[in-house]
Amino acid sequence: MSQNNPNELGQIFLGILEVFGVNILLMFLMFTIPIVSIIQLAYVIPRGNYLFKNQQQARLKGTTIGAVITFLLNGGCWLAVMSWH
Amino acid sequence: VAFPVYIWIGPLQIHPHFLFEAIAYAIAFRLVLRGVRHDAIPLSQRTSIIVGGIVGALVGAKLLVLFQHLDLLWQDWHQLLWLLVQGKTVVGALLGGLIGVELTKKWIGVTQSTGDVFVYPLIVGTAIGRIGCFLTGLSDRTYGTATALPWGINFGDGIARHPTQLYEITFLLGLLLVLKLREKRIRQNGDRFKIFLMAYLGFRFLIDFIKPEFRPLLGLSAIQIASLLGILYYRHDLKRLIQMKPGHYIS
Repeated sequence: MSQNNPNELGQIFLGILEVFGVNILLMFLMFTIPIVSIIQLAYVIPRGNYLFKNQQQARLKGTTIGAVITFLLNGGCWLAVMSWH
Repeated sequence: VAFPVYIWIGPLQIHPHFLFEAIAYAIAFRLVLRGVRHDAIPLSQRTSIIVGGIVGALVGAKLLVLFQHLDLLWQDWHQLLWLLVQGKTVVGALLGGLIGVELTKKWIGVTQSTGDVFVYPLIVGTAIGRIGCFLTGLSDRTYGTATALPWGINFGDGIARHPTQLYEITFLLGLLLVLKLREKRIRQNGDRFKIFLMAYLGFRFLIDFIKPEFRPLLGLSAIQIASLLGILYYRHDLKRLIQMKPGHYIS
Protein backbone atom coordinates (compact mmCIF):
# COMPACT_ATOMS: atom_id res chain seq x y z
CA MET A 1 0.00 0.00 0.00
CA SER A 2 2.72 2.48 0.89
CA GLN A 3 6.46 2.71 0.67
CA ASN A 4 8.64 3.07 3.76
CA ASN A 5 8.75 6.71 4.74
CA PRO A 6 11.54 7.79 7.11
CA ASN A 7 9.28 10.51 8.53
CA GLU A 8 6.14 8.36 8.68
CA LEU A 9 5.24 9.15 12.30
CA GLY A 10 5.93 12.88 11.88
CA GLN A 11 3.66 13.07 8.82
CA ILE A 12 0.93 11.11 10.61
CA PHE A 13 1.17 13.48 13.57
CA LEU A 14 0.91 16.49 11.23
CA GLY A 15 -2.16 14.96 9.56
CA ILE A 16 -3.86 14.53 12.95
CA LEU A 17 -2.99 18.11 13.97
CA GLU A 18 -4.27 19.45 10.65
CA VAL A 19 -7.71 17.86 11.14
CA PHE A 20 -7.89 18.90 14.80
CA GLY A 21 -6.93 22.47 13.86
CA VAL A 22 -9.60 22.74 11.15
CA ASN A 23 -12.22 21.14 13.42
CA ILE A 24 -11.45 23.50 16.32
CA LEU A 25 -11.89 26.44 13.92
CA LEU A 26 -15.16 24.94 12.61
CA MET A 27 -16.46 24.43 16.15
CA PHE A 28 -15.71 27.83 17.57
CA LEU A 29 -16.13 30.05 14.52
CA MET A 30 -19.30 28.44 13.18
CA PHE A 31 -20.57 26.84 16.42
CA THR A 32 -20.93 23.39 14.89
CA ILE A 33 -19.89 21.42 17.99
CA PRO A 34 -22.78 18.90 18.00
CA ILE A 35 -22.22 17.93 14.36
CA VAL A 36 -18.55 18.71 13.76
CA SER A 37 -17.88 15.00 13.12
CA ILE A 38 -20.31 15.18 10.18
CA ILE A 39 -19.34 18.70 9.02
CA GLN A 40 -15.64 17.72 8.94
CA LEU A 41 -16.37 15.29 6.09
CA ALA A 42 -16.80 18.28 3.75
CA TYR A 43 -13.11 18.97 4.34
CA VAL A 44 -11.67 15.53 5.12
CA ILE A 45 -12.98 13.67 2.05
CA PRO A 46 -11.55 16.05 -0.61
CA ARG A 47 -8.36 16.46 1.42
CA GLY A 48 -8.01 12.68 1.69
CA ASN A 49 -8.62 12.32 -2.03
CA TYR A 50 -5.92 14.92 -2.75
CA LEU A 51 -3.41 13.21 -0.44
CA PHE A 52 -4.16 9.80 -1.97
CA LYS A 53 -3.66 11.08 -5.52
CA ASN A 54 -0.39 12.75 -4.50
CA GLN A 55 0.92 9.57 -2.83
CA GLN A 56 1.13 11.24 0.60
CA GLN A 57 0.10 8.06 2.38
CA ALA A 58 1.43 8.91 5.84
CA ARG A 59 -0.33 12.28 5.88
CA LEU A 60 -3.51 10.54 4.68
CA LYS A 61 -3.25 8.10 7.61
CA GLY A 62 -2.93 11.01 10.03
CA THR A 63 -5.93 12.78 8.48
CA THR A 64 -8.00 9.59 8.82
CA ILE A 65 -6.94 9.05 12.46
CA GLY A 66 -7.75 12.69 13.28
CA ALA A 67 -11.20 12.42 11.68
CA VAL A 68 -12.00 9.17 13.51
CA ILE A 69 -10.88 10.56 16.89
CA THR A 70 -13.10 13.61 16.24
CA PHE A 71 -16.03 11.25 15.56
CA LEU A 72 -15.33 9.37 18.79
CA LEU A 73 -14.88 12.47 20.96
CA ASN A 74 -17.65 14.56 19.40
CA GLY A 75 -20.43 13.50 21.80
CA GLY A 76 -18.25 13.97 24.86
CA CYS A 77 -17.08 17.33 23.55
CA TRP A 78 -20.68 18.49 23.26
CA LEU A 79 -21.35 17.33 26.83
CA ALA A 80 -18.28 19.30 27.94
CA VAL A 81 -19.48 22.49 26.27
CA MET A 82 -23.02 22.06 27.63
CA SER A 83 -21.56 21.80 31.14
CA TRP A 84 -20.00 25.27 30.76
CA HIS A 85 -23.43 26.87 30.26
CA VAL B 1 -21.91 12.65 45.43
CA ALA B 2 -23.87 14.29 42.59
CA PHE B 3 -23.46 12.75 39.15
CA PRO B 4 -22.01 13.74 36.71
CA VAL B 5 -18.94 14.48 38.81
CA TYR B 6 -17.36 17.40 36.98
CA ILE B 7 -13.62 17.83 37.10
CA TRP B 8 -12.19 21.29 37.64
CA ILE B 9 -8.97 22.20 35.86
CA GLY B 10 -8.23 25.74 36.96
CA PRO B 11 -11.34 27.80 36.10
CA LEU B 12 -12.60 25.21 33.60
CA GLN B 13 -15.31 22.74 34.51
CA ILE B 14 -14.75 19.63 32.40
CA HIS B 15 -17.29 16.87 31.80
CA PRO B 16 -15.77 13.62 33.17
CA HIS B 17 -16.66 11.53 30.10
CA PHE B 18 -14.90 13.87 27.70
CA LEU B 19 -11.88 14.26 29.96
CA PHE B 20 -11.28 10.58 30.68
CA GLU B 21 -12.06 9.51 27.11
CA ALA B 22 -9.52 12.00 25.75
CA ILE B 23 -6.93 10.86 28.34
CA ALA B 24 -7.66 7.21 27.45
CA TYR B 25 -7.06 7.78 23.71
CA ALA B 26 -3.89 9.79 24.36
CA ILE B 27 -2.38 7.20 26.71
CA ALA B 28 -3.42 4.22 24.56
CA PHE B 29 -1.95 5.91 21.46
CA ARG B 30 1.28 6.63 23.35
CA LEU B 31 1.51 3.00 24.52
CA VAL B 32 0.94 1.71 20.98
CA LEU B 33 3.74 3.95 19.68
CA ARG B 34 6.02 2.62 22.43
CA GLY B 35 5.08 -0.95 21.53
CA VAL B 36 5.74 -0.61 17.80
CA ARG B 37 9.36 0.40 18.45
CA HIS B 38 10.18 -3.29 18.93
CA ASP B 39 7.87 -4.43 16.15
CA ALA B 40 8.74 -7.11 13.62
CA ILE B 41 6.32 -5.48 11.18
CA PRO B 42 7.61 -2.52 9.10
CA LEU B 43 6.37 0.84 10.43
CA SER B 44 4.49 1.71 7.23
CA GLN B 45 2.51 -1.53 7.37
CA ARG B 46 1.95 -1.19 11.10
CA THR B 47 0.50 2.30 10.74
CA SER B 48 -1.77 1.10 7.92
CA ILE B 49 -3.01 -1.65 10.23
CA ILE B 50 -3.64 0.92 13.00
CA VAL B 51 -5.67 3.08 10.61
CA GLY B 52 -7.67 0.04 9.41
CA GLY B 53 -8.32 -0.93 13.03
CA ILE B 54 -9.33 2.56 14.11
CA VAL B 55 -11.80 2.99 11.21
CA GLY B 56 -13.25 -0.49 11.85
CA ALA B 57 -13.51 0.33 15.57
CA LEU B 58 -15.53 3.47 14.83
CA VAL B 59 -17.94 1.64 12.52
CA GLY B 60 -18.31 -1.30 14.95
CA ALA B 61 -18.79 0.94 17.99
CA LYS B 62 -21.58 2.93 16.34
CA LEU B 63 -23.29 -0.05 14.67
CA LEU B 64 -23.53 -1.97 17.93
CA VAL B 65 -24.96 1.11 19.70
CA LEU B 66 -27.68 1.12 17.04
CA PHE B 67 -28.49 -2.57 17.60
CA GLN B 68 -28.21 -2.27 21.39
CA HIS B 69 -30.85 0.45 21.54
CA LEU B 70 -33.00 -0.67 18.62
CA ASP B 71 -36.08 -0.48 20.87
CA LEU B 72 -35.74 3.32 20.84
CA LEU B 73 -36.40 3.34 17.09
CA TRP B 74 -40.16 3.22 17.68
CA GLN B 75 -40.13 4.67 21.23
CA ASP B 76 -37.91 7.75 21.02
CA TRP B 77 -35.94 8.04 17.78
CA HIS B 78 -34.54 11.44 18.83
CA GLN B 79 -32.76 9.74 21.72
CA LEU B 80 -31.52 7.00 19.41
CA LEU B 81 -30.05 9.64 17.10
CA TRP B 82 -28.40 11.32 20.08
CA LEU B 83 -27.02 7.95 21.25
CA LEU B 84 -25.59 7.36 17.76
CA VAL B 85 -23.70 10.66 17.91
CA GLN B 86 -22.63 10.43 21.53
CA GLY B 87 -22.62 6.71 22.29
CA LYS B 88 -20.27 3.90 21.42
CA THR B 89 -19.63 0.40 22.69
CA VAL B 90 -16.27 -1.14 23.56
CA VAL B 91 -17.39 -4.57 22.31
CA GLY B 92 -18.42 -3.08 18.95
CA ALA B 93 -15.15 -1.18 18.74
CA LEU B 94 -13.08 -4.31 19.46
CA LEU B 95 -14.91 -6.50 16.95
CA GLY B 96 -15.09 -3.74 14.33
CA GLY B 97 -11.40 -3.04 14.91
CA LEU B 98 -10.62 -6.73 14.49
CA ILE B 99 -12.47 -6.83 11.15
CA GLY B 100 -10.80 -3.57 10.05
CA VAL B 101 -7.35 -4.94 10.89
CA GLU B 102 -7.97 -8.26 9.11
CA LEU B 103 -9.23 -6.50 5.95
CA THR B 104 -6.25 -4.11 5.97
CA LYS B 105 -3.81 -7.00 6.44
CA LYS B 106 -5.35 -8.77 3.46
CA TRP B 107 -5.09 -5.58 1.39
CA ILE B 108 -1.43 -4.87 2.19
CA GLY B 109 -0.35 -8.52 2.27
CA VAL B 110 0.50 -9.07 5.94
CA THR B 111 -0.05 -12.66 7.03
CA GLN B 112 1.33 -12.73 10.59
CA SER B 113 -0.64 -11.89 13.74
CA THR B 114 -0.48 -8.22 14.66
CA GLY B 115 -2.76 -7.81 17.68
CA ASP B 116 -0.36 -8.36 20.61
CA VAL B 117 0.98 -4.81 20.51
CA PHE B 118 -2.55 -3.42 21.09
CA VAL B 119 -3.41 -5.48 24.19
CA TYR B 120 -1.94 -3.37 27.01
CA PRO B 121 -2.97 -0.05 25.39
CA LEU B 122 -6.53 -1.40 25.01
CA ILE B 123 -6.70 -2.59 28.63
CA VAL B 124 -5.31 0.65 30.07
CA GLY B 125 -7.37 2.85 27.70
CA THR B 126 -10.63 1.02 28.44
CA ALA B 127 -10.05 1.14 32.21
CA ILE B 128 -9.38 4.90 32.10
CA GLY B 129 -12.41 5.46 29.86
CA ARG B 130 -14.62 3.57 32.33
CA ILE B 131 -13.67 6.04 35.08
CA GLY B 132 -15.36 8.69 32.92
CA CYS B 133 -18.39 6.42 32.39
CA PHE B 134 -18.73 5.91 36.15
CA LEU B 135 -18.38 9.63 36.99
CA THR B 136 -20.94 10.52 34.28
CA GLY B 137 -23.65 8.45 35.98
CA LEU B 138 -27.10 7.76 34.56
CA SER B 139 -26.77 9.57 31.23
CA ASP B 140 -23.89 7.25 30.24
CA ARG B 141 -26.24 4.23 30.37
CA THR B 142 -23.44 1.90 31.54
CA TYR B 143 -24.82 1.41 35.06
CA GLY B 144 -26.15 -1.87 36.44
CA THR B 145 -29.48 -3.07 37.75
CA ALA B 146 -30.76 -2.31 41.26
CA THR B 147 -28.97 -4.09 44.10
CA ALA B 148 -29.20 -4.35 47.89
CA LEU B 149 -25.45 -5.02 48.14
CA PRO B 150 -23.59 -2.55 50.38
CA TRP B 151 -21.50 -1.16 47.50
CA GLY B 152 -24.55 -0.27 45.37
CA ILE B 153 -24.31 3.30 44.03
CA ASN B 154 -27.12 5.82 43.75
CA PHE B 155 -26.39 7.63 40.51
CA GLY B 156 -29.09 10.21 41.19
CA ASP B 157 -32.40 8.42 40.68
CA GLY B 158 -32.66 7.17 44.28
CA ILE B 159 -31.93 3.53 43.33
CA ALA B 160 -28.78 1.75 44.51
CA ARG B 161 -27.30 0.08 41.45
CA HIS B 162 -24.44 -2.26 40.58
CA PRO B 163 -21.46 -0.03 39.68
CA THR B 164 -20.73 -2.15 36.60
CA GLN B 165 -18.15 0.38 35.38
CA LEU B 166 -16.10 -0.26 38.55
CA TYR B 167 -16.52 -4.03 38.13
CA GLU B 168 -15.09 -3.65 34.63
CA ILE B 169 -12.12 -1.58 35.81
CA THR B 170 -11.38 -4.25 38.46
CA PHE B 171 -11.66 -7.00 35.85
CA LEU B 172 -9.34 -5.16 33.44
CA LEU B 173 -6.71 -4.56 36.12
CA GLY B 174 -6.92 -8.25 37.08
CA LEU B 175 -6.56 -9.28 33.43
CA LEU B 176 -3.55 -6.98 33.07
CA LEU B 177 -1.94 -8.62 36.11
CA VAL B 178 -2.65 -12.18 34.87
CA LEU B 179 -1.26 -11.41 31.41
CA LYS B 180 1.88 -9.86 32.89
CA LEU B 181 2.42 -12.78 35.28
CA ARG B 182 1.82 -15.39 32.55
CA GLU B 183 3.74 -13.47 29.87
CA LYS B 184 6.40 -16.19 29.52
CA ARG B 185 3.78 -18.85 28.84
CA ILE B 186 2.24 -16.85 26.01
CA ARG B 187 4.61 -17.84 23.25
CA GLN B 188 2.63 -17.91 20.06
CA ASN B 189 2.43 -14.64 18.18
CA GLY B 190 -1.11 -13.28 18.50
CA ASP B 191 -2.09 -15.33 21.56
CA ARG B 192 -1.92 -12.38 23.95
CA PHE B 193 -4.55 -10.59 21.87
CA LYS B 194 -6.74 -13.68 21.60
CA ILE B 195 -6.64 -14.21 25.40
CA PHE B 196 -7.46 -10.55 25.99
CA LEU B 197 -10.33 -10.49 23.51
CA MET B 198 -11.93 -13.74 24.67
CA ALA B 199 -11.56 -12.84 28.36
CA TYR B 200 -13.06 -9.38 27.79
CA LEU B 201 -15.92 -10.68 25.63
CA GLY B 202 -16.63 -13.42 28.19
CA PHE B 203 -16.69 -10.82 30.96
CA ARG B 204 -19.03 -8.55 28.98
CA PHE B 205 -21.33 -11.46 28.17
CA LEU B 206 -21.72 -12.14 31.91
CA ILE B 207 -21.77 -8.57 33.26
CA ASP B 208 -24.46 -7.48 30.80
CA PHE B 209 -26.93 -9.76 32.61
CA ILE B 210 -26.88 -7.21 35.44
CA LYS B 211 -27.46 -4.24 33.14
CA PRO B 212 -30.95 -2.98 32.30
CA GLU B 213 -30.65 -3.55 28.56
CA PHE B 214 -33.07 -4.32 25.74
CA ARG B 215 -32.87 -8.10 25.12
CA PRO B 216 -34.48 -8.91 21.79
CA LEU B 217 -33.18 -12.45 21.18
CA LEU B 218 -33.18 -15.41 23.63
CA GLY B 219 -33.02 -12.97 26.53
CA LEU B 220 -29.69 -11.62 25.27
CA SER B 221 -28.73 -8.04 24.42
CA ALA B 222 -27.02 -7.08 21.15
CA ILE B 223 -23.71 -6.70 23.05
CA GLN B 224 -24.04 -10.21 24.49
CA ILE B 225 -24.81 -11.68 21.05
CA ALA B 226 -21.81 -9.82 19.56
CA SER B 227 -19.62 -11.08 22.45
CA LEU B 228 -20.67 -14.67 21.78
CA LEU B 229 -19.93 -14.28 18.05
CA GLY B 230 -16.49 -12.88 18.89
CA ILE B 231 -15.70 -15.85 21.15
CA LEU B 232 -16.96 -18.24 18.45
CA TYR B 233 -14.53 -16.65 15.97
CA TYR B 234 -11.60 -17.92 18.09
CA ARG B 235 -13.29 -21.19 19.17
CA HIS B 236 -10.50 -23.35 17.69
CA ASP B 237 -7.91 -21.68 19.97
CA LEU B 238 -10.11 -21.64 23.07
CA LYS B 239 -8.96 -24.89 24.72
CA ARG B 240 -5.26 -24.24 24.12
CA LEU B 241 -5.49 -20.67 25.37
CA ILE B 242 -7.39 -21.59 28.54
CA GLN B 243 -4.70 -24.12 29.38
CA MET B 244 -2.03 -21.62 28.30
CA LYS B 245 -0.04 -24.46 26.78
CA PRO B 246 3.18 -23.18 25.25
CA GLY B 247 2.93 -22.84 21.48
CA HIS B 248 5.61 -22.26 18.88
CA TYR B 249 7.73 -19.14 18.78
CA ILE B 250 6.95 -17.23 15.62
CA SER B 251 8.68 -13.97 16.43
